[in-house]
Amino acid sequence: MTTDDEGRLRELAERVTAAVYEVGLPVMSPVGDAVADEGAVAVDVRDSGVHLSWHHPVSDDVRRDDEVRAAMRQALSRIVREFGFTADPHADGVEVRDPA
Amino acid sequence: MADSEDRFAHKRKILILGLENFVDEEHRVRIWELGERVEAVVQAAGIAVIRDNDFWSDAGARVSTNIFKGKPGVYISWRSSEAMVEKIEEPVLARDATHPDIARLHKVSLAMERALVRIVHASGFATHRFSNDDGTHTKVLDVEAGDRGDGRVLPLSLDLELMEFTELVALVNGLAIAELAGLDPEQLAEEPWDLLREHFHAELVRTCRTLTDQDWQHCAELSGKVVHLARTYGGESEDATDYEIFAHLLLRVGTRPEFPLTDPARLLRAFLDELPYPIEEAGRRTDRLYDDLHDPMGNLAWARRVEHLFPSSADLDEYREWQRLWNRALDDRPKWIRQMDLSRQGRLPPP
Repeated sequence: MTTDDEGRLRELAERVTAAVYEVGLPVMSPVGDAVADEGAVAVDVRDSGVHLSWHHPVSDDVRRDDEVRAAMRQALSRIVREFGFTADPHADGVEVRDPA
Repeated sequence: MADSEDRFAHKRKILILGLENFVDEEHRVRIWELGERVEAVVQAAGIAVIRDNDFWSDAGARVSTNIFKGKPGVYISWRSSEAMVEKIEEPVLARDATHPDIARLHKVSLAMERALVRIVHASGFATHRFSNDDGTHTKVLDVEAGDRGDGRVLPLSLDLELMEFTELVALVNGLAIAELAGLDPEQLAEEPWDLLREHFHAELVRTCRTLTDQDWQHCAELSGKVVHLARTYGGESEDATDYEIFAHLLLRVGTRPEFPLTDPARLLRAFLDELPYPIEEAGRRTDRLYDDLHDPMGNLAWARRVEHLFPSSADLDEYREWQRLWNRALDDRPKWIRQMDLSRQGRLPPP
C-alpha cells in the first residue's frame, strides 16, 4: 500500500467514524480498547478498505453472541450505505469503501 | 427497569389518571418483568438502553412498557441521536417530506430497530410489528407466557422496507396461498401486500444482474405470486401490470425471452391487452379516442423506453398503429393540454 493509499484510507476511516458517531453508536479508539460494559464499533484500516465490526462483552451463549454480531453487522452495512459508502458484509465485519 | 424508579413513575401515573385506565395488577407486573428481561438482553448485546423516563440520554434502544388498556406491552425502538434529529428540523418545518436527511433518519432507525428485533429473537422472544394512528410499533411478545401476538399471519414483524432480496424470496416462498384463502379477509387486508409487491420488485431490479438462470425462473414465479397477493388482498388493481419493473429489468439485463420477466414480446402483449378495444374499432372512434386511451397510454412512457427491444411481429405493427392513433388524438387537443400529455409520457419536459 502506498502512502497515498494509506492516507486515503485513513481519511475514509475518519468519515466512516463520523457517520457512526452521528448515528449515536459508540466507536472504539483505534488502539483497540477492551470493551468493558458496553458494546462499540471498531473501525480498522486494512489494505482492502475500512473494516467495521461490533464488539460487546461475550456471554456463555456463543450462538446468541454470533447472532448479535450478525444483527449489528447488517445494521452497520445499512447505516453506512445511507451515508453514501459502499458496504460489503463479511463473516467478521463490514468492509466499507468509498464509491468515488 | 433494574431499579424501582420506573415502576414508581408508573404508580404515580396510575394515581393521577385513575386505575380504570390501566391493565390489572397481575398484568402490569408481567409487563414490567418482561420489560426488565428485554432490557437485560439488549444491554447484554452492548447496546445502550433508554428508559421511559430518561429524557437526557442521546441515542440508544428504547424499551418502553405500556400498561394502559388498549395496547399494553413492551415495545422496542431506536432513538436516534440529537445530531440526526436536529438535521431534520428545518425540512420538517418546511414540510419537505422528501428531504434526504429525513429519509436517512428513517432508514437508520429502521436498520437499528431491525438489529434489536434480531437480538431479542436470538434470546427466544418473538416480536410483532403493527401500525396504528400513533405510528408503527414493534411489540415484544412473551412467548414463554403464551403470548402469540394478535393473530397476524405474515411474518412481517420484520420491516419489509429493510428486507433484502434473499430474505424477501424466503418470505414469499413461505406464503401458502391456499392457507391464506381460509383466513379472515378483513385481517388479511390489513397486511402490507402492496408494499411487499413494490419492495420485492425493487429488490429484484437491484439484484437482477447477479441472478442465475434457475433464479430467473423462480423469481418469475414469485413475482406472479406477489402480484396475485397484492391484487387479492391489497389495494392493487386487478389488471395493473408492472411496466416499470419490466422496463428496468429489460434495460439492465437485456432481452431473455426464455424467462417471463425479460421477454419483451410478453410485455408488448400485456400493453396491448390493456387497450380498451381492438385496433380496428379504434379507427371508428376517433372522437372518443383521447378519453378512451388516456389511462392505458399512461404506461406508454415505459413501453417507449424498451420499444427498441420489441421483436418484429404483428403485435409490434399493432403497437405502432396505436401510437399513431394516440398521437393523432393528442394533436386534436389544445396546445397547452398537448404539452401536458407529452410531458406525462416522458417526451417533453413539463411546461
